[in-house]
Amino acid sequence: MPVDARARLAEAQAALVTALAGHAAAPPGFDVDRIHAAAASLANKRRRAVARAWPVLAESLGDRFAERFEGYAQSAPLPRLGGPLADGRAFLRWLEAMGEMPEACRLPALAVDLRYRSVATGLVPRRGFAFKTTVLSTQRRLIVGLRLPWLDGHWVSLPLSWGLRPVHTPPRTVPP
Amino acid sequence: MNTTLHDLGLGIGWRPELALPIDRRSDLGFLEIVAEDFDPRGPLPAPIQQLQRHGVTIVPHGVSLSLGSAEPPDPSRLDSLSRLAQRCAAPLVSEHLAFVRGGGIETGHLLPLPCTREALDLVVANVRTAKAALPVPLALENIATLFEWPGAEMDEAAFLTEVLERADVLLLLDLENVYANARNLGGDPHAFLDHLPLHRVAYVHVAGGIERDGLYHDTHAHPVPAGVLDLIEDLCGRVRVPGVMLERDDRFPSDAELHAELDAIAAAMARGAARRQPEVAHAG
Repeated sequence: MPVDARARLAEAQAALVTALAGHAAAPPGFDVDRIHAAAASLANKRRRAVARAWPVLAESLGDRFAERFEGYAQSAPLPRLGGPLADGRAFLRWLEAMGEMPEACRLPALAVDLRYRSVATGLVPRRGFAFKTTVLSTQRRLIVGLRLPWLDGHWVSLPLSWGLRPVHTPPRTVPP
Repeated sequence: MNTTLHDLGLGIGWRPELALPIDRRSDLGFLEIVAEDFDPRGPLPAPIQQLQRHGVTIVPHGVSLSLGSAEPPDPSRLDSLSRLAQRCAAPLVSEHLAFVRGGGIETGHLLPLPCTREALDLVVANVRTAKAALPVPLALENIATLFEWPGAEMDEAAFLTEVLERADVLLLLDLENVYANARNLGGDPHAFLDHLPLHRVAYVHVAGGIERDGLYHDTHAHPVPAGVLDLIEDLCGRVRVPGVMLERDDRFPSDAELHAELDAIAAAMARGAARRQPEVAHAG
């Protein structure tokens, strides 16, 4: 296979992808309106895929979801590994850095972190042990998550305020 | 072509949101799973294993090999797809005639190739590499696109046909993509079928879309249009089609609506096959 043919195609595809990501104008010869329509459709598809993979995230951000996601997506390319789950996990990290991480997402994020390792290119399934903690500040609880290779992920919730408040243990419910 | 086509029947794309209606549907012959959503070294989810025990065939469907990229397909992605195919005891796997990344950017979307001789040679080489690495036959899917590359030296049907024949692989014919491209780029979707090697059709995808701002968007989130059901009937009237499946990825319908869509697909397949019956009887 001629190397210059591969290089030519790689260059042409890179130019098209850059335009579709909204970082450059459509390459010469392409229908500009159609490239815009395709770029909008790609952005929409990416956002909806994350909303589906992280329903709790879409729910907690509500009307702000689309606008916040756009802010994140402009600076963050789609992760190479892990698809929308990885994209949503990276979006949560971005929100956390902005101080906007919804409390309701902490447990789902912990559950994902117990099963996957976050790497620069996205999410990779874990094989061994994992130990993760998170704090639910409104409920004043520390969540400790543990993944064992043969037991998958488990977590316990511990009160953060011994001595300050009585600890309410929910009654055990017996399945019918 | 030295691959025997595996009978699949009526199928659907597995989505966890559809687990219940899928489980209740007793006439499903196959289930397509998006390969990248599964850990190739882990067990399949319990509902899929259960369907498999009931005789439902599982077909892994890749979306990230990017066989149309300038670079050859990534061996680790090919390895994952191979392992998954073996884990599922799949009779075949499928991917797309498309590229999904370039210049270090992942698009998460299937993009069209330039219909040129040069691109054709590259994609044939990539498809041959993939085929050689996979333990089961490979079917390639035609994609939907809102735009075309400038400088085409042949049309989409000729490009697709030449890739399939030169690499000797099967066709996953997406009839909704044929319908969408005809609406957005022009042309008659039924005439498009005239130019394809239909004996290579391993199975068929159908889905729904919606028109927005004068363009038809292949959303997989809306009902299957009547024009797509007509294409199923037309196709099944031309050749024996091993399987037809519904892809529904978003705005999940009620169980009743989903069953009605699957019934409409099965009815279109039956109408087409009935048109072919006299010819079959004659041949027999």
